[in-house]
Amino acid sequence: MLISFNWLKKYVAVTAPAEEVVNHIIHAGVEVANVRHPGQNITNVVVAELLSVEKHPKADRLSLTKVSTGSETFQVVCGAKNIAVGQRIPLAKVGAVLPGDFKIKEAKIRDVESFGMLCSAKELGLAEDAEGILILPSDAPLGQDFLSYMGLPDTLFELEITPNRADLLSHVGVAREVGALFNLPVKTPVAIKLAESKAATASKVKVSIEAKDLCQLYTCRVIEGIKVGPSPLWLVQSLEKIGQRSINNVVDVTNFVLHELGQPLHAFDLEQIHGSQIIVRKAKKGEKIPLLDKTERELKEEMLVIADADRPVALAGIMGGANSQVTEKTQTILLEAALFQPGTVRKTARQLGIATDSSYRFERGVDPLGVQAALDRAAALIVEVAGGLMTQNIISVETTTFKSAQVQFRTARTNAILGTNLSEEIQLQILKNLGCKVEKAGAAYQVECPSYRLDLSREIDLIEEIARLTGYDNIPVVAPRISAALSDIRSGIPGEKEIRSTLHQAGYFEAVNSTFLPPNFADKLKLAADHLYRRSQEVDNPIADDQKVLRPTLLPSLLANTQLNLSHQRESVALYEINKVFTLGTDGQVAERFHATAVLAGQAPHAGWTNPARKADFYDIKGLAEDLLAACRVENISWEFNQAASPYVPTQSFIVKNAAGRVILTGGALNPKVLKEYDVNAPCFALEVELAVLAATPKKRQSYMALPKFPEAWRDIALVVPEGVTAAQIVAAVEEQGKPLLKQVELFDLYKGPNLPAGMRSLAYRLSFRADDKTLTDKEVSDKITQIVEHLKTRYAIALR
Amino acid sequence: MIDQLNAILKDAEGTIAQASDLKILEELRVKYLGKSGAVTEMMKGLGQVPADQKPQIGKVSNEVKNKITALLDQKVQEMEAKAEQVAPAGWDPTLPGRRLTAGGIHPLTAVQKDIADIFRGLGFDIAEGPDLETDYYNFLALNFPPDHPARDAQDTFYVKDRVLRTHTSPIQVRQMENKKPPFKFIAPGRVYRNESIDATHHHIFHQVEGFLVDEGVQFSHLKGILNVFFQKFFGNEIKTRFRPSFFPFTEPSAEVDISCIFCAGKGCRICKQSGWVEMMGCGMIDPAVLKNCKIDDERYTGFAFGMGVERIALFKYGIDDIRLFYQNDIRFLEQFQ
Ligand SMILES: [Zn+2]
Repeated sequence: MLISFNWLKKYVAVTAPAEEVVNHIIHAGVEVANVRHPGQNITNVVVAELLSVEKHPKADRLSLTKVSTGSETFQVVCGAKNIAVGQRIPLAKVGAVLPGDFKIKEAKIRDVESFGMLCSAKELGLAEDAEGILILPSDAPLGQDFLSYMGLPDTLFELEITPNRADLLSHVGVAREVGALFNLPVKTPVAIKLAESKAATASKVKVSIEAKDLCQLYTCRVIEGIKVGPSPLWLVQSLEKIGQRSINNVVDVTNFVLHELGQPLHAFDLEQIHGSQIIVRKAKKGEKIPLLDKTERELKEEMLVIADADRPVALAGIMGGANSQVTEKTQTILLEAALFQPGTVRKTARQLGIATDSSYRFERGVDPLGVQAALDRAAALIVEVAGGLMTQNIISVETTTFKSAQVQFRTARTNAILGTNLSEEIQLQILKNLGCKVEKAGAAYQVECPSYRLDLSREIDLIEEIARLTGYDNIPVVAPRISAALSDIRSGIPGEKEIRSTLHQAGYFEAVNSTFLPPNFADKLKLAADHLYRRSQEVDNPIADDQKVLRPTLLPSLLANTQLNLSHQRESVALYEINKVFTLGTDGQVAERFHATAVLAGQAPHAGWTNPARKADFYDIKGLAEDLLAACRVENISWEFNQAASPYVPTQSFIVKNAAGRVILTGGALNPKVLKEYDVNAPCFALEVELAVLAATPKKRQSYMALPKFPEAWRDIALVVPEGVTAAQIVAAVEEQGKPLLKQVELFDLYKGPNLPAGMRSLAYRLSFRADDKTLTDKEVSDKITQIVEHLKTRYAIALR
Repeated sequence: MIDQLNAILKDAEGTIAQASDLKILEELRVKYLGKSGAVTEMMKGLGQVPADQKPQIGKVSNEVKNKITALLDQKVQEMEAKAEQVAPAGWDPTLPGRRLTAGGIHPLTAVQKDIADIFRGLGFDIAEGPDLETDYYNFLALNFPPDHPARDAQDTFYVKDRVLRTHTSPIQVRQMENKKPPFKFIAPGRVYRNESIDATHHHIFHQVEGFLVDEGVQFSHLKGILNVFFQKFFGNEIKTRFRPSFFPFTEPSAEVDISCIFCAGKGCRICKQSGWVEMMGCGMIDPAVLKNCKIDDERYTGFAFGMGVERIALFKYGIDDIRLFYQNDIRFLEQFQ
């Protein structure tokens, strides 16, 4: 919202410079987005008229003009295209200065002399951008100083008003705030008592309110014999400076009073009001209204309208109807000032997608005791600028009588809340400066809050005002004493710490992605029809169609991240994310769970000059799963292979379950068809951890075991293993046969190649033996090895290599 | 015999001086001083020497032995010292060491953890809440009436009868309702606003909410704790400034600015020449919120604050586009290890 400093000063005699006023209001909690100084640093610009416009003899794109200031005539070369004889324009004379310290001198432009410059709004610093020369009204007085003609220089404050401060949405409102801050009185404009005709207003129009809960007050006046036309300069200037377009004298007055007092008003052409009847009612089903913005809207039954005998003529508090608008032919107007319920205005405005200065103010609440004053002020101004005569008396229909808020106020409570030591005198003075009436009531005070401060209705509201106006800087800074009550709240996501540190050691970087996925993610992941991730939920009002689904898996985002990183010629991509996923339960509720998901693509991490690069493979992601499970010390888990469905390749997948059969994690190689969908042109592996299941899985207790007293003996055996026998089978058999001396079995080599019979592979293990009560002899160890080898031979046809 | 001994000494002086490596020195030690070394042999022959010459010859042979020992030791030391200074051929200590190329935490998580760690050090606990909230917890209980313009600032995503929380403040209500103060919590989480994305806005972002409710909690305490927080987070020289503002769930409400870390408050591009940067919103918890949680708002007072993790991370690291956080370009991520 733009506030003109010149305009503001009509109501409060503030002498402080604009910068100081800005500083004060910022510290009182009003955000000032921008301060501009139109007309500053301009001299010697006057109103002139174009006497002739001809082509420049040597330049096609330039014009040669003659302009008159009334007393003098100048030849000026101009580059703009929008000029024509007879127009009035701002002329910067030789010796003039424009913003940016741009001095106008006599000049020769392509051999033609030019004495001055015709100015655009941009060159005058009045607009950020402007095409062509600023064309002035035809009655602009020739020779008059342009600045004084425009009411410049001025300072414009662009304020951002918080929703609680509806009272600041006008010049008088801001003047009140400035008055309270600078301890200055505020003069509100009073309607000059104007003559009324003999005819009673009530004989011209009948007003009734049907929707009593949505309209507290409806007041109106009728003005007859007006002449609709252009507004006088002061009115045009006032509105244009704060970014409002001048329309005609009647509409401009209603707009002016809105920005002066904050009360929205509307003028109807009374002759267009059927049946001379105004009914404030809810819309009827299917009813339509043509609006001033040249659209036609179909209304819903709960929307509040102003209707005549036959049809809606305005959307209450939002916008007038085109069917009753004031035109050049209008002679009698009905001027409305009312109070509409804020919620209904907001709801209707949002439903129809219309936001106006009027709806903005009604939504936030206008001064209930200011309605009639605003009506009179506007009526008087209309008569002043458009002529005519008011009929006798105002019409005022009230459904709810406004009562000022009465607040019990304790000055001690202020200090208790703020931690200050403000005297009673200072506190009460601030409340009075704000327009409150304060009376002693026992140990406390009874405070009547002003009607324009609808945000003040409780003691805490008054305490805030005192804090605001004494300045937050004057509240002391004190370290609080925090009571050390113990809480049972656990911190963070279970397992998060262990998982993060394992992943970081393994070379994975954390990614953070949006919660939203495109609806086709499930197809891109080639999920089966009954896959859990297909039970996803969409947002009702997504920001875009491809950001509709609350993600049930973190994989698609990580695949997109992988694609991005691979596209930068990165050879190894290792990323993870720990975040919430959402799935639709069978009960129709959306369940939120945490996933930890890791993706590995391209080369394995940790390559270096002593550790040659190699392609990542299944065993990298499996090893990561093993490391994660070890770090979390889970107990009694089981591995299943060849079971996971797409997006994994089943034969290169694993599922880890706990003893209760719940899946802790799933992982493996990703389906190449899925990778193609995500443009990932490298082998890619992933694992997904269900953190809730991980948390619910029993953990091994960390407890000390006595260090061995006797040495360990080890033997290496290389086995030739036929096809179909798995490493897991071998280890299980070795462990079984090795009891009780065998303490560890470790694979240290795998060989497949020409030296072995077809289909065979060689696995080399290191077996460690130890007894708890003695040092093992060579023979004891050899006997154990023999037993193990014999067993492998008979059970699996495995031979020693 | 003395002449013989002196001859041995002379010979030893020459050979030791010329010895070129430690191995030769060890051979020389054996040659002169070993079990059948030259000096040892001489000393073995001492038995046959006439008694009157024994002390004289014994003394000389000991001197010779000691001198040769000293020469050998000195030469060994010299050589070892020299060896330490000469690198073997092809040695290049400037080759990179063997490192574990660790991954790392996302800057947003890092900032969130740093914030939480400071407040945990101050005695706060961590609380969490659902991303899908009811209108009651997200708005109504926090003193946002239905159809109130205060809701405009929080463009909301709807999911059936729920909303995606527009702030972390619902966690306040969830933690406080039907429980007895004192409360002192930090509540981090992801929040959602239905607005278009640009360099400073995203439709998802992260907040850390904090609140403290007890008897006798005052606005001055809020200033105190946030002052401590910002000094611990950005450094002791940081100044804070409180400006009145409006949030439906706090009153009095404030915006907190901190002095710009890039120009020490002198004014620069990052702080738009003001010397101050807006960092968070805060205030005394509105009595209406306490009432909604069935807490005696006359006996208990409290403060709450909420900060945007992205905003703080942008400022802390001097990042100029919020979208970088969600692209997950490893070239970006690895800068924050
Ligand atoms: Zn700065």
